[in-house]
Amino acid sequence: MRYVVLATHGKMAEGLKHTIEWILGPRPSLSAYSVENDLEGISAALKQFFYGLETSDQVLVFTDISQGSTTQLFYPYLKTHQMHLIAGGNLALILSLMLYPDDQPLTEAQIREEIQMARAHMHYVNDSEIIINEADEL
Amino acid sequence: MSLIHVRIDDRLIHGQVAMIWTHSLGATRIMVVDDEASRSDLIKMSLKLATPNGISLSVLTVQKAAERIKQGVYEGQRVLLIIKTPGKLIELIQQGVRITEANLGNLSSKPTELELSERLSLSSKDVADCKVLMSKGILLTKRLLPTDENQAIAL
Repeated sequence: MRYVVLATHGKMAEGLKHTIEWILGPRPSLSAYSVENDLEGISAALKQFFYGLETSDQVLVFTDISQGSTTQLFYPYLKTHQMHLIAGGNLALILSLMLYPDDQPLTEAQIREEIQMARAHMHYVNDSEIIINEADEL
Repeated sequence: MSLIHVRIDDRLIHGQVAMIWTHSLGATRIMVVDDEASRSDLIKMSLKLATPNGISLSVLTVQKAAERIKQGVYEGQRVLLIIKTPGKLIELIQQGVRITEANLGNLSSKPTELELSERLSLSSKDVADCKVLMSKGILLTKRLLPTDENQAIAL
């Protein structure tokens, strides 16, 4: 089984969860942690979550800021669990990874490739040239 | 058959279509069948911007789409057809296009007669048109994702 965890400063994680479920439908394997003042409380909740997992479970974690406390909260589990920690991800990345069947583990290579592709989804639309191809019928 | 999927969606090409359906269906062409869009350069350009790279786009009137599909112009291609309403799909079928199944994506018709889900609000005309489509043996579904169960909607 694969779980997806979102953790951000403030309520972005909850908002992101809402957006993802609006697009993909309800996902019981998705959880959101909005990190505000109670770092200890969240830390304890995460500990409970990670130690409740089966050894075969995989966890994908998305955080907002690479050096932020949201990311640091997960460091303890990098070595102990099948956890993949991704900072600064975008919606395209989260969706594309969540579209893989969640009963098969994702490989590191797949995750790297999806990150590479998702980067293209952040772009300056003003610079977009509309290129009409011969095959288009407009 | 070049027509691999028919989607009824009043938002035409948007995130779910561009990011999810086009890829998982392996579509090579998105065909928007909409008289209004086909007459507006602004709408056509925004549809082109919304179309993923490497995917061809057609924006055609109902009549033109029917003609070209029947001529077999798209043989060997994988066409994802998007049309705004069940009523428009009936027009397309009346012009001789054969369709066996259609998925309801987003509909926000007002006044709303029936809410099938948070993204599907049908007017009384939509409901009547869906019944016409079903009576023609067309399987109408409301799958959010291509992997969802392909179950007929209940009206």
